Amino acid sequence: MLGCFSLLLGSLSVQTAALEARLEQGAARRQRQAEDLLASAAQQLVGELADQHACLLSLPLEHWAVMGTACAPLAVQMQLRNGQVLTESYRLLTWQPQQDGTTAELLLELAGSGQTPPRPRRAVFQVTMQATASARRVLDLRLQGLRGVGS
Amino acid sequence: MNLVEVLTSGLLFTLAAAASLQLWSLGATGSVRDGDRQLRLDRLEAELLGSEERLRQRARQGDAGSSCREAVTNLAEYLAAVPALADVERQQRATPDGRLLLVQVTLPSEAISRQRLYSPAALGLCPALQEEGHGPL
Repeated sequence: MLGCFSLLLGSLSVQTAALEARLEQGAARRQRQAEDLLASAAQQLVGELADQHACLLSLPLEHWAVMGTACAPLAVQMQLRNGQVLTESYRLLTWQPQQDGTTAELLLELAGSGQTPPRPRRAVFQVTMQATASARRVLDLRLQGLRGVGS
Repeated sequence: MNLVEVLTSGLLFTLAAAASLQLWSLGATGSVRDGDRQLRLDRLEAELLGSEERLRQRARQGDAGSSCREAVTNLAEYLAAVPALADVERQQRATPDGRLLLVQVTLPSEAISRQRLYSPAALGLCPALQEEGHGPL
């Protein structure tokens, strides 16, 4: 009986390990998907800012509604704040240019579609810019980290 | 313990051992398969990130086009000229509005793919530096 019990325990531990591996694979797959979507959203949003609404680059997000209408009407700003990328929608949470104007922090969040309860999936990006006295131009965009993804 | 009990317990032990060995075998096979799969997924990741870095290098060279749409086309042609890693397929094309480059990498053996959008404007290729306060181009 002791032998049978040992074999049963061993088999159960193997099955548990296999199940854990599957769960980890699923979490890693979801993380990769979220990372791709967030990176794409950042490229799309920053590209649109740089190409069509450059005056917003130097303004923190909370100042857009007051000082950013020169290059982006409020309706356009709403579309920038709540966009669609590939298969999902996203929200712009933070756009914070630094004092010297050469970098900005971007925080995006994917909508938690299909999940109960919705789980925030966020990513922080650093945007490098070229700054003159009165203008900004985007030079690069890099992912800094993910938040609330893969768990 | 009489003979019947000995035979019964022996039979039970044999059955349990056989089932356990089968489970161990399945677990070991699955582990090897998962390891191989992870290696292929890592290669897919390397191809995606490598493509991104090549786009950045191209952007640093600066002359990808005079307009953002032209830059997308040129970036797609530039990337198409670079072979993908072994066992990985890569496609690159402009989005329907022409403003973004869609890069898709696929593992045919696993039917797994990843895709990302890239904007030449976010990579610093366009537009030219201009004064603030101007409307959309």
